[in-house]
Amino acid sequence: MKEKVKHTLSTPSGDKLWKGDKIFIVLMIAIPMLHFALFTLYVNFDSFIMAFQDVDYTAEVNTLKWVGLDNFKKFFTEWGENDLWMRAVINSFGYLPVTVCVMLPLSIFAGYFLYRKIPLSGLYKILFFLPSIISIVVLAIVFRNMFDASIGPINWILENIFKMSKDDIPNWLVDEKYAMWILYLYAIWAGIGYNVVLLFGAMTRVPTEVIESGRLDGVGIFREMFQIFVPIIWPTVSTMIIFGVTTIFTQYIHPMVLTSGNGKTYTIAYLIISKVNQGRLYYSAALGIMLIVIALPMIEFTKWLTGKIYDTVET
Amino acid sequence: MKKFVKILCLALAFLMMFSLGACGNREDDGKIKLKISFFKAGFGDEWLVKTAEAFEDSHPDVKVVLEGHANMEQLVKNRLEAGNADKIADIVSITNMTFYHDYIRKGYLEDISDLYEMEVENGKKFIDVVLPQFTDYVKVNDKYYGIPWEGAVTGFAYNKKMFEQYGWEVPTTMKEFFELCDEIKSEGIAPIVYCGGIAEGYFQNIMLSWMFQYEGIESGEEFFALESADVFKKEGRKLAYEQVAKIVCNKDIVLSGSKGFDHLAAQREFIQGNAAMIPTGSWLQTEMSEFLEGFPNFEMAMFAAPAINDDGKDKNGNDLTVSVGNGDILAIPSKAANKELAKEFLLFMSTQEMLNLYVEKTGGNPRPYVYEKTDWSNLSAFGESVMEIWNSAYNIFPYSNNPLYLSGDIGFWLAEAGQCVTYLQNSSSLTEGISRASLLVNKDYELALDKLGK
Repeated sequence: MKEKVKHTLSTPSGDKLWKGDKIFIVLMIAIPMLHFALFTLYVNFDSFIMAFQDVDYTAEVNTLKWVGLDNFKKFFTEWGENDLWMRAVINSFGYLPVTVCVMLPLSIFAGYFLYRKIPLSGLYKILFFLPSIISIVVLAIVFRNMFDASIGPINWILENIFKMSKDDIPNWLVDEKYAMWILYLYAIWAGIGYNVVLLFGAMTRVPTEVIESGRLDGVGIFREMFQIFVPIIWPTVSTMIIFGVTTIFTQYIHPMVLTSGNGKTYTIAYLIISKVNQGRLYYSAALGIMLIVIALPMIEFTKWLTGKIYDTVET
Repeated sequence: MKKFVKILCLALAFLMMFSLGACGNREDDGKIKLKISFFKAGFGDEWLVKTAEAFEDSHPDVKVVLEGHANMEQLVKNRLEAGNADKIADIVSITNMTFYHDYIRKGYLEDISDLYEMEVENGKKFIDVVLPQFTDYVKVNDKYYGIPWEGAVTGFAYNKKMFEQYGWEVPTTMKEFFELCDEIKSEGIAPIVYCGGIAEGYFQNIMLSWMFQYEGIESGEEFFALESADVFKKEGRKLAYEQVAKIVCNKDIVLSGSKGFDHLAAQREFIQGNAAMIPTGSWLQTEMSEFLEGFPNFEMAMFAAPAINDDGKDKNGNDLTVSVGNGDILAIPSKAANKELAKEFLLFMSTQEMLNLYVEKTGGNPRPYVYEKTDWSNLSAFGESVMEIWNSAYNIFPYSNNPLYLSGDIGFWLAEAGQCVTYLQNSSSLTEGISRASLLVNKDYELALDKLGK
């Protein structure tokens, strides 16, 4: 059944590589390699060193000094001083259930119904994907205005249709009780379209023979979805789960553009960025290393786990 | 043909790599070029354009090249780090204090201590012209690597027309302030709007003013030195917390929705006449200039943070009004091409004529220098009131030379991660707000004790 593609070192037209080609290839690869060495390897190496250094402001002339684990200790002191860090960790880990348990199933459903060509599915496709082609910052402005106290439609509806008094309506993006939930809502709203399009694309590649034979055997809609579609598109789904886990450690744009951390909406990454902006570079480097120590095993574990659930289905 | 395409690709790739490095200063009309890279702030660049023109008039052999950008801070940093002498301007602006210290440590900035001893005009040295409260933050290791750039005034802005219409008086003490609030409220207008959703409602500058005003100059400066945790016990701090609590926790005097406003939203409400006063700074007029065009009948002015004591004096019985200003720095990189000329330009900027020009072109923003001119009636009412505060108040720049402050480990407001206004405004009642204020004082002291010791 399967065709094997033969890979040889030759141009598509079959000519053998000549010397000039090799130089060309080496040069072309050299540029990204150089980029990688400078902006990834060097930067990471440097930040590793920075984690154990700090500026000595007490010296006559400001110099760098080795401080051992002081930068790491600072973190635990800060943790004890106020609840900023703890809230940041909780907020960040909150993104995991939001992306994996809420957004992913929603996207699978939406993708599936698009695939089943429900009425107006073309329109839905556009509506779902529209937020993904608009810059996240523009989206955030639109989203923030929806919840704005003076011009936002949501407050207007609550005031004029549900007859709530202006003082009873919370300040959605400032109030500690609501702000983080609104951010999660934004994550779903802004992220779902992208997921739906990816999943829809994966679903269209599911062989129709498999689906048809399933239907002939009388498979219902839910069985079809969970026992045929999900296993076949599992590589796509598992990639999304892994992205969901990395979100815990990398999410900073949402709080940055929507709340600037107000209403206790800091995430781990955004808090580190705010330390960088305060100029506390050496402390931030230590924070970054601590983050890697926690994040890497978690992501590797997720990879291993998602690989266990379904064996990759051969089609 | 194929080979040709490949070579072309390669050539293009190299061209792309090196094209960025090729933009040198080619144009040459025999004049010395003085290049200035500056942060283009909300108040625009007209002040510098005019200053440069005047400088060129008095120095016919010089051409001043200006480069203003809202993101200049990062550009300057990149260029200084890269160290390419061609790209480094003769004068750069620096707004981030940590960067400033970093540059000095790495030797990027020229020591310009001798500039402070040079004559500006009429026998006056530079050190006599610059305000002494604003020289501390540019001084590092007992040397000067920059000069103070902009000053600014902070306090409350008020709706001038509205005040005239109802015959309200500008308050000078907090007692008068709260009485005025009641009066305004009785007319059915919200007394105050503030931006609770961002930047701690712009209250922190005013809080420092209150504290400093109550404590007096000596005790206030003792606080900024942050030598022991005891400075956090100063009565003025507690009173400053309480004043904020009395404002933000009182639903009757704050425009509803203030908790959630960002600074622009709050300023729009103020200009639309929905509230009579707003905590802000002298940048307000230029920041909102576009929006203000829609309200030709609107007129505003500013007053400094009212005194806490009923007699308007500090705790020692001295007359004192305080305004917290901005800093920002102009400096000369050590790799600059025309250092002496750059110094000359900085001196030129500090002459009375140029200082006055700065105020006029920025809609009433002072530089932290001694102004001889006292009549500012040529400015708008807002600019005039700003300059009046500037001339009559003790202008301070909140800054400490304490190493812990420089490294970012300690600030002036410690509890609740420094977000004290947010913490206060979330109180459910005025009484809770007041008790939260004393909680904050105790927490501040505890945290300071850990860091500074007794």
